Formats: sequence, structure tokens, C-alpha cells
Amino acid sequence: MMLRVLEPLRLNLEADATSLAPLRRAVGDWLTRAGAHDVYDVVLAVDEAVSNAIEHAGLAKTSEITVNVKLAGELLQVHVADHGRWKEQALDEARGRGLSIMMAVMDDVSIEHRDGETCLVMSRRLHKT
Amino acid sequence: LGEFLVELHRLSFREADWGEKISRTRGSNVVTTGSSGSVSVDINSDGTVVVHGDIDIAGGPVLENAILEHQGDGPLAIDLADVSFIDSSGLRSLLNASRRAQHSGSHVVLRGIGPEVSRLLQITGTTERFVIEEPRD
Repeated sequence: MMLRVLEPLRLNLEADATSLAPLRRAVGDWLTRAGAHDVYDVVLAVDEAVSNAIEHAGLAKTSEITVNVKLAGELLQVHVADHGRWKEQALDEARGRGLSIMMAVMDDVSIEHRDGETCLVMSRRLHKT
Repeated sequence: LGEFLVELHRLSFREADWGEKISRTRGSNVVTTGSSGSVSVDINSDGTVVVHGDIDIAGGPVLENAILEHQGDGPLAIDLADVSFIDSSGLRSLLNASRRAQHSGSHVVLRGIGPEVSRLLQITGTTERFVIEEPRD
């Protein structure tokens, strides 16, 4: 069975822990509809990325985190963007935790800083159900 | 940034990577049950810590506090049969509990874990820090 082509998922979230449960449901539903296998792995990576942004980016609760998920063939790409700038200490702390998990379950993880925005970019080749 | 990412690739899941940075504050309030957003924690009559819901950065501290209040010198049982999502916040609490138990020559039992908890333990190479009982498929 082929993976289904879906419209990219775009979510704007408040930078608050209460955003995580709805985020996980939305990403999980989207992946399931796409016919993806290993849904938990990807949901976990997105949860960790957004958790890091919430905890470490020094964002006001009212500021937004933008999550984009899209599928190009079997390649899943996830962008998590916020308007905070991760502190050095925050990066150290994140290294042993969420980022390690993201790197374990995704094929590629990188962080880009540009125009006052921090964007975490992850990709992974999906397996079909 | 390049160097930072190279360094990231070298990271392994050593014990030191986990749980050291969590602040352990024993408040004056004894918490027997707690809940926060996505998670709630109960204590069974036999002392088992029973967790319901998702363990994320909202729920992690609730679990951490419940464990701190109820962990003695003997084995600690944590029932995760009603947990369908766990992330590094929850894992940190479980590993902190495991470390404390090992210091007193004991262990932590994880009961009823589902595929998600099992997968997280596998990803992070931490399965052997626990005694696994009655896992779910």
C-alpha cells in the first residue's frame, strides 16, 4: 500500500505545556491518515521538539510555535519554528534529553537560527503500515 | 552549529545524560495523588504508583512528586497500564526512581507497559534499569 498524499499539516500553538496533548493528537491523526507506520516515533520527536521550545526558548506563553509536517513521497519533513533564541545553557540541557531522542528516531535533525527565529528541522523516511 | 551537531551525534544514552538536572524539591505538602492536565497519579493500597494519561512536560513533575513521596527503601512498583504516551520528561522520573532504588540495593518494577513505553526504553537503551512485569502487546 502506498502512503497517501495529504495536505501538509500546519499548526500554530501557544508556547505552553497544555498545547502538547492536542499537538500529539493532530500529528498522530495526520500520520495515521497518511498510512504511516511507527506513528509513535514521529509523535515523540515532535513532542520533544515542541517541549524544548516551550521550556528553553524563553518564550512568553502568548507567543506562538509553528509546526509544519509534510510528506514528499516517503520522506516526512517536520519544521518546528519559534521566535525565541535558545540559550546556550538550554542547548546543553536539551542535548542529553529530547534532542537525543529526536536523533534516534529521525534520520536527520538540525537547528537553524535566522531572522530572530529558531527552526528545528527533522526528516525521516517513513515505512508503510 | 556544525560542531554542535557533530557533538550531538556522539551522544550516547549514558546514565549521566538522564535525570541529573531535574530539581528534587520535597515540599512540606504530602502529595498522595496529583493531576496536571494530561496525567493523574494514584497510590494503590499496596503502595503501587498508578499512572493514568500522557506523561509529558505537564505531567512529568506530577509523577516525579508522587514517586518522591512514596518511594521507600524496598522495591517500587509503577503501574503504566493506562499510559499511552511517554516522553523524556516521564522517562527522567522513572530513571531517577531506578537510581534511588539501586542505591538502596533495590529496584523499580514497571507493570503493564504498552508498546510506547517499551519503545522509549528501547530507543534510550534503558530497559535494563527496570524489572518489567506483565507488559501489554
